[in-house]
Formats: sequence, C-alpha cells, structure tokens
Amino acid sequence: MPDDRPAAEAHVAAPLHAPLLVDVQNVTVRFRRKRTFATLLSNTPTSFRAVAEADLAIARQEVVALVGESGSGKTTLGRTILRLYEPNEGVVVFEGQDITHLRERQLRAVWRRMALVFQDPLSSLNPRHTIHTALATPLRIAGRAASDVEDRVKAALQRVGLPLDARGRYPHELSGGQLQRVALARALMLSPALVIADEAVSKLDVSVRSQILNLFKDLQADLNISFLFITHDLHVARYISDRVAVMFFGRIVETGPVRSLFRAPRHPYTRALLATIDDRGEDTPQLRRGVVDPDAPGCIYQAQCPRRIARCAEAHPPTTTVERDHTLACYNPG
Amino acid sequence: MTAPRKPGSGMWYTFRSNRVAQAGSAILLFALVAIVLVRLFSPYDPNDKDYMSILLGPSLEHPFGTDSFGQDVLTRVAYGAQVSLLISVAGLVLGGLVGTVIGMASGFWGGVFDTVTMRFTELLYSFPTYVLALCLMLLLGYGSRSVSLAIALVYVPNFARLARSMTSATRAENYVTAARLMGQSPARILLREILPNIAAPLLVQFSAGLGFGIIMEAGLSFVGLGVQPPTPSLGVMMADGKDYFQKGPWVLTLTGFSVAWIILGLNLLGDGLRDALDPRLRRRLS
Repeated sequence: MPDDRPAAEAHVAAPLHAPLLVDVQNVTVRFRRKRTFATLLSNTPTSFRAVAEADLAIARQEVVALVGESGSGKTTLGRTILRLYEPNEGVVVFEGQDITHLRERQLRAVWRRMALVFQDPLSSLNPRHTIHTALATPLRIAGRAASDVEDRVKAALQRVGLPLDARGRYPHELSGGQLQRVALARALMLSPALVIADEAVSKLDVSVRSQILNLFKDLQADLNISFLFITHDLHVARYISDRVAVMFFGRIVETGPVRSLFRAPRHPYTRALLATIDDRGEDTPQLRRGVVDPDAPGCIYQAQCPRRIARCAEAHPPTTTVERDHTLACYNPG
Repeated sequence: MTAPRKPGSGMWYTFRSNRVAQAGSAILLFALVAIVLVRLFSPYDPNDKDYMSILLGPSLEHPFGTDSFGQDVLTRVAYGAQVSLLISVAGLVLGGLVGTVIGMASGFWGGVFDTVTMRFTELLYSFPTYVLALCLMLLLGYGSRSVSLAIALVYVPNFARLARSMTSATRAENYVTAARLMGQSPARILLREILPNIAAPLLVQFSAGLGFGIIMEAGLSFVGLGVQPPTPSLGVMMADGKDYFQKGPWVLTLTGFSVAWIILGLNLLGDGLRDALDPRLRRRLS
C-alpha cells in the first residue's frame, strides 16, 4: 500500500511487502542535559542524542526484535514510536497517520491501538489496584458496559493462563511470571495493533522466561498483532522475531530477516554481537574496545571497527538495501 | 458472577491488628465516649456559675474540680474539647483539601504554576507557624470561624508540599505511564492512579495535624484571639486557669492533660494508619 509511506522516496530503507503498521523515518531524539556549574565549566554539550536518524518499519502481524547493548537507544526508540517522546527530527507514522507531533489529547485515540509491556511488571501495575481493576481499567476508559467488562476480564485471564481467583489479588501477591502475564493480558485488553515489549522477559527467571516467551508467540499468532520486541538477549530475538534491527549508540546499523541476519550478518558490529552468542570459531572481537563519541563525525562504530577504512571517518554511512528486506549502514561490510 | 475481593478488607484487617493503631483508637475512643457521656449525664451546665463552690479541688462531685466561677471543669472540658475538635477538623479538612489539590496539580504539571505556588508556600513557611496564625487572626478577626481558617491557611503549604513531592515522584512510575497509554485523562490519573498511592502520608499528616490544630486553637484562644468566652474551649479554659494557677492548679493541669490525651490518641492513630495503608508493609506484618 503506497499510501502508507508518504515519504517513501525520501529514504532508502527496504521496501516491505506487507502493509506497514509503523513507519519510523529518519527519527532523531535528543535529551536535554541538566545544566549545572560542572557542565558549564567543562563545556559538555547541553543535549544528548539518544537516537540518531533511525529508520524502522514494522509490518502488520510482524514481530520485529530491536537488539543492542544497554544504552544503545532501543528503549528510547520504542517509546518514541509510542510517542511518549517527541522526536526532534523525523516522522513517526502509525497506521498511515502521522503522529509525530500530536498532542496528548489526540494521542489517546492512537494509544488505544498500541500497548507497552514493561521490563518490570510489578512497577507497571498500580500497587493499590487489584488485578481485576488493572484489567478492567482499559475497558472502562474505552466505555465498555459493566457486564461486558466482567466477561472480558475473565477471558483475558484465561488467555494468559492465569486462574480466575487472581482477580482479587494485588500485584505484590503474585510472582514475576504471573505479573508479566497480567501485564500482557492488560496490553491485549483493547486488541491493539501493536505491542511494544521492552525487555519484557529479561527480568524473569530462565525457567519462567521461556513460558512467557511462548505465551507471547502464541498470542501473536492468535491475535494477529505486531510486536516490537526490545531486547539485549539475542537468543530471545532469534526465537521470537521475524525481523531484527540492530542498534549501536543510537543508530540502527543493520536490519534483516532473522534467519539471514543470524546466518550471514554483514555489519561488523552485528558480527561482533552475534559472535558473543555462538562459537563459530571466527575471530572473537571484543565489544566496546574503544571509546565512542556519538557527536564525532563519521561512522558511529569506527572506534571499535576491525574493518575501518578511510571513508568511515568522514560521515556515518547511509542506510542501503543490500538484499530483500535487508538494510545496512556500512561502507565496508563483511 | 463471583465478586472480586474488596480492596478495603485487607487494609481494615491490618489496621485493626496494628498495636499502635489499637492504642491510638482506644485512647481517642475513650476521649470521645467521655465527651459524649459527660455531655449527656453531667448535672452541670458548662456555664452554670456557682459562687458557693469556687476553686474546689478534684472530688467525686467535681472530678476535675471547679474554676474561679465555680463552674465544673470536667463538664467544661467535655464541651470545650468538642468545640476545639470541630474547629481543628474544619481547619484541617479545608487546608488538607486545598493543599492537596494545589500540590498534586503542581507536582503533576510542573511549570510556572508549580514555581509560583512553591515560592508562595516557602514564603508562608518562613514564618513561625504560630506567628503566621496570629497575623492571620488579626486579618480575619476574632472567633472560631477565623481560627479554623487560620489553621487551614497554616496547613495549606504543608499539604501542598507533601502532595507535590509525592505526586511528582509517583508521576514517573511505570504504572502512571501505563495509565497514560490506556488513554486516561490527567484528572483520572491523579484521582485513581496517584492519589491512592500518596494518600497514606497525607492521612498521617491529617491526623497529626488535628492534634496540632487543637494546640493552635488552644494557643490562639489562650491569648484571647480565638474562641471568645463564655464559650468553653480548651484554650480559653487554660488561659483562665493560668491566672489562678497557684490557687487552683487543677484547672490548667487537667485541661492540659485532656489536650495531651487527645493529641496522643491522634498521633498514634496516624502512625497506625500509615502502616495499615501501605500494602507492601501490610504483607510484612502478616
């Protein structure tokens, strides 16, 4: 659907074949630093660029994993898609609507179609509300009838495999795995088109993690939702996603279908990252060998890159499509 | 349709099983029952002057003795405590409501409103409480209504600052973000998501403030700015008692003891409330 991409010719991200749900174009997010005497004296920049010129598309019913180390801007990008942050540059399109600069009042309608699952489920549930209240609230906001609410809460609990007597419980009375089920149930309450899961399984025990991951996978298949799975865990990314986007210091350096990306990563950073999880016996490059200066000209990865060439110091490489659905920002890919 | 467990029940249970709260409620209940009983069964009128029995010490006939007009001190304490409590409650309810609304608004939205209100509360804070109340009384005029208003104005900044700091901390919680993403309006978020989580310290402040309100009423009436005689109030009576303390020390002491008793009860109740209203603490206790 060409209508879904109003500025398609402006950038060179991969043309996706399914209709787009989310289209992030050239988005930059800066955070203002707190001004103190120390920052004035040391002449540090007053803002910090968390996400730089990011392009990311999510098709309907697609599961995209956003991977990267902590501090790479994954969460910021996820929250910018939710419009919890307003980007300084670029455009965020959701379901064909430009939501880049909508006000909170206008965003409420958009937010009914999106949901966020937090890393720490306990903190995402109001400690003073019972599980029933937590699950019923989205329905009440949406103006559903009381009798309808009761049935839907029951159905939601069953869907995520929780007993009905969980309704009267408070969040602190449930385990981490149960809480993440509740959080997922709440996210799905209004049948959103997009669920953003921000490290949703990384705080869980390994034994519980796979259960929750399977639950995510089953529900995604049943309900035809798109997922953006933000994670630093490559195993999780490989297990759950259709497509992977790799972030490094605020920039998306490579995106591609999960299979081809894991089989043949092109960007030196992706290769380094993937080498940490399997023992292919290649040269094991260490992550973070040099110091990254996000404001320096040139490629963001040049300080660590083993394949650095002269051009890398000039400008950050543009994102190009190397294969179908596979994009890359590198002058000298492997 | 099986009804989900009511959120209140567990809270009430811990409140009742909390020893501090038990002691506080018992002390307060005793005071309230005593006030009611004395009012119902006392053979004396608080303003009945009996010049044949001036400044009699405590006895079976007059458990708290009589004052310089021969009035029964216990009866007057019961009537006076009621007057003082009502003045204090009225002041705290008004000050608590206004302060909480202002504080929550500035904590939630920040910005210019926040800056202005907080500088204003700092200004009010820079006066010693009693001096501020005295100034307000001079502006508002004498009488019990003015005492309530003065107590309210003294407490607006307390509640505002408390509510503001807790609101701005709670606003950053993930469950508030989650509530925003559900499309809840700011008013709803403040009332349903934030207020229940900051209510406990506000309630503690309220019950401690009630005690302080009584002290403030007593203090203002003591210097003659508050409740005007012959209406009995605890402050009026203590002011009266100090004039002839050497001849009849029971008037001042026993009235003061009644004040201390009520305040002790209120403070213990406040502490118990704080524990009972915190669900995380509740689990630890059970």
